[in-house]
Amino acid sequence: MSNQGVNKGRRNLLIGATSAVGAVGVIGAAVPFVRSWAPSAKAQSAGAPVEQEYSKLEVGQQITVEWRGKPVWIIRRDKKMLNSISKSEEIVADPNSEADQQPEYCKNEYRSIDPEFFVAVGICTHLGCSPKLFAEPGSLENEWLGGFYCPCHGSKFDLAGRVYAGVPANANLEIPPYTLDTTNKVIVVGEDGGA
Amino acid sequence: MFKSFMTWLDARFPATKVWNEHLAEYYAPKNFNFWYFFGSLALLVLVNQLLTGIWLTMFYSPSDPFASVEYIMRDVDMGWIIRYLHSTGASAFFVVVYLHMFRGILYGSYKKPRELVWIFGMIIFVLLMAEAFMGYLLPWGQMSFWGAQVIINLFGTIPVVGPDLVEWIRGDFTLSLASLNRFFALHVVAVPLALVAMVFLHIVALHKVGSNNPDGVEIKDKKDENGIPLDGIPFHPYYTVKDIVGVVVFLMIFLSIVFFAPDFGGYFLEKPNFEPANPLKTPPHIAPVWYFTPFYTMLRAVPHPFLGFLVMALAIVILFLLPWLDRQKVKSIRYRGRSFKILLALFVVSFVILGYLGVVPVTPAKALLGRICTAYYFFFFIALWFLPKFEKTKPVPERVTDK
Amino acid sequence: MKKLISAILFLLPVTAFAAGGEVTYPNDKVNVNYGDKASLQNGAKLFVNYCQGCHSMEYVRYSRVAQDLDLSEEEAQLLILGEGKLGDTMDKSMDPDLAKKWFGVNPLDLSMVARVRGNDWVYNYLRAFYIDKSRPFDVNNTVFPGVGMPHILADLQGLQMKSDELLAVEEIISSGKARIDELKATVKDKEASAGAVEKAQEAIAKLENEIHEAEQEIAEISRQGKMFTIVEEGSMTPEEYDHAVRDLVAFMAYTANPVKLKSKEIGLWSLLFLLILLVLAYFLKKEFWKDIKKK
Repeated sequence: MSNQGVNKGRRNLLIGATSAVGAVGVIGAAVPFVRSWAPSAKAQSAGAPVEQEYSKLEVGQQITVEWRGKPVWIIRRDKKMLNSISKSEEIVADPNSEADQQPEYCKNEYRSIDPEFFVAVGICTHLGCSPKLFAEPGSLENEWLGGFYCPCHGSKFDLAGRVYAGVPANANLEIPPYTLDTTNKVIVVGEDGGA
Repeated sequence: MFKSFMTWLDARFPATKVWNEHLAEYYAPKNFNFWYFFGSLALLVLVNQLLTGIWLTMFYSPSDPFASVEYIMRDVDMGWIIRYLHSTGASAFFVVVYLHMFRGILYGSYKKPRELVWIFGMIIFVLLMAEAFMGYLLPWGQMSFWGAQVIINLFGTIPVVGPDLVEWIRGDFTLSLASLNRFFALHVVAVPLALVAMVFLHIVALHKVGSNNPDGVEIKDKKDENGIPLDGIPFHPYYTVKDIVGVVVFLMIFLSIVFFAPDFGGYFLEKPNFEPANPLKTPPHIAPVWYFTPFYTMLRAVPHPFLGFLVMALAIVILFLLPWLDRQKVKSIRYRGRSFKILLALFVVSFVILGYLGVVPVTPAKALLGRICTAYYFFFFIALWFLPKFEKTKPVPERVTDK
Repeated sequence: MKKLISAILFLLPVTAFAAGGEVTYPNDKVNVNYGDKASLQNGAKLFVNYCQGCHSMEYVRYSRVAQDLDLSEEEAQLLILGEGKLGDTMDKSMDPDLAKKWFGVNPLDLSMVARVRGNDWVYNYLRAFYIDKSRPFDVNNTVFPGVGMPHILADLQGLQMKSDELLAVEEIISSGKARIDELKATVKDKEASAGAVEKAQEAIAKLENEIHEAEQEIAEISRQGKMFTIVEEGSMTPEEYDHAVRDLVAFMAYTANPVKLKSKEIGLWSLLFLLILLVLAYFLKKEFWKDIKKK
């Protein structure tokens, strides 16, 4: 065994080429293992869009539907509630919904397709508790304009789900993708479509 | 950078030492042939089984076994690849291990000073059979159920304690999910742990005594001035690059089966196993998976159930004794007499026939053939003991030869 | 290739594993084309319309079928029974308890039946119903004698009877077997004379030979497609019916193993890749082993 007369260049080239192709093979072999962790067809089926009729929803009423294991609120807002949203402009942290917490079609003052219907994921953006609705002004404290209050750590949101400045939570409530089907009077939560 | 890291590491952990002792300065005989691929291939298949097995455990559910296997096959993205890799891997494991063991017989690799290497290997083989048997129950198909039913009932043939023992193994009055659940635990945790530990010992023992070779010559007997065997070459890089070629060829065959014929005509995945287990309906023809069939035929060859069970067990036990039964000093078949070659050739033929008989229904002629082959199986080992008296061996060279 | 590998690995003949069951007739080959989407789509429609009332495919999702069979969402919706959603599994419309009351058993799940029985078996089975007034649903089946299922495709195929040719041959077999039983009694009879026993044995051998020939005759009748005569026409001609059943079997073969085509595709790519790696690995090995040769 002697290393004399060894063509180092050729040897290194072969090592490099085999390692490179071998590495591609390892990545290829990893694909099924990685992809198997994605939500299965069963999970996708269980996470399919949820339909909710809204014609029977009374003004000011809140209902909760389950979508992908999360509570999703549907609230029919009246004039008074919408007015309170305009008033809270000054005290919320992200009045123009700059943070990516809603689909493009809900990036407006009322954070909804139709201002009357508010659809939001009812999970506090701080640590995942479910905030409670205090719709009436003054119902929580004297200065209260109406909104959501999270009992866990005291985060506050207005009636468009915009977070107050200076509370533990630092992002607006998430608005899920949804469709407002005005002909059939249903809201389809989970289906991207807008109005 | 790398160098200083290695210095730091070596002061705390024998990284370089282990690398050198087992790879870069582990001197293997330079004349390894085709038969020497199967050791590293067995390791490859073990890794495949461990990885795919861990992944399958993520999706499998022992409380709803059949449906969860279909869940893996259909709903989990690419889950079918992982499952077929695992099911084909089980058969591949036995192919590789049987050939690996045969290599040992060809070249006398179990003879002094390698008896322990063989013993550890045999323990691995027995663990592998247990692992495969329990794994085959998990899909909870008709064959899973009835195959396990038959094998577990074998313990019922043991006098006195048999029936109670069977009930204890099953944990129920019939084979049920209670039995499956314990098999599941053993299959995914206990046996794999033991397997990995035994593989480790197998390699440690091998590296202590050094590898045998097709000439059966001890390369450590002839060393150069540096104490390096004259016929030895460092395992790394020479055998690593060689084994890569073997691995690629193996993968080509293996993946052909995985992707083109995962049930392999009913040998790797039996057709009735796509039907959920039904304790009230026995499939018309129950056959064990191919790797158990030689031993299954031995069981059937004996008319008495308990004796049949004993014969089957003895067939495994006798393999453990091989290093002491084969008293011939000459290791390799290359320098052994014609009598050994004939004996071994017949052994292979009878083992294959035993395997074949295990998958077909019994007829009187086949039962007789099964008995003859079973008898020959044991005769082979006894004959090995007496063989040195008659055998005309050839002179063994001092150094390894070029093919 | 398959045979070659198995021969190398096990030295075992592949034919050894032929299923335990006996040969039944008709015994035609279906030759399913997994790539023919139109055929699979038609099969899916037939399954939903004719089978799914009683039989589920509880592991198969409509969404997956739609995706694999190139169905649009609207087309897929047409397959779905009742209130079902696209992501649902193909459950039967019938209540399992009710089914058990009607048929005595809960009809089998058909997700994987083509894999358990084989495509050919299902194809032959669905074409082998014939009138038999002694059965609860007035039909029997030559592939599955004593079947407990009505001939659900009768309005497509019509109703058929065993042909005279077939009946004649079957008569030879059954009377022959009965005669053999009688003769065997003679053979076993201890009081019978040696001459009588020998005669009986000769007769048995002759009858067995005749039965064997008759069985081959049935195979020939089946090959010629003359096992049955239509007595009441259905909406399809026999050719159309065979074609429809082939589509249905194709769909069931697909549901039994939905990844078959995908698997072959991935297999080919991985083999191609390994071939490249093999060439490189081979030259790498050769390069290093030059050291050893020089010694």
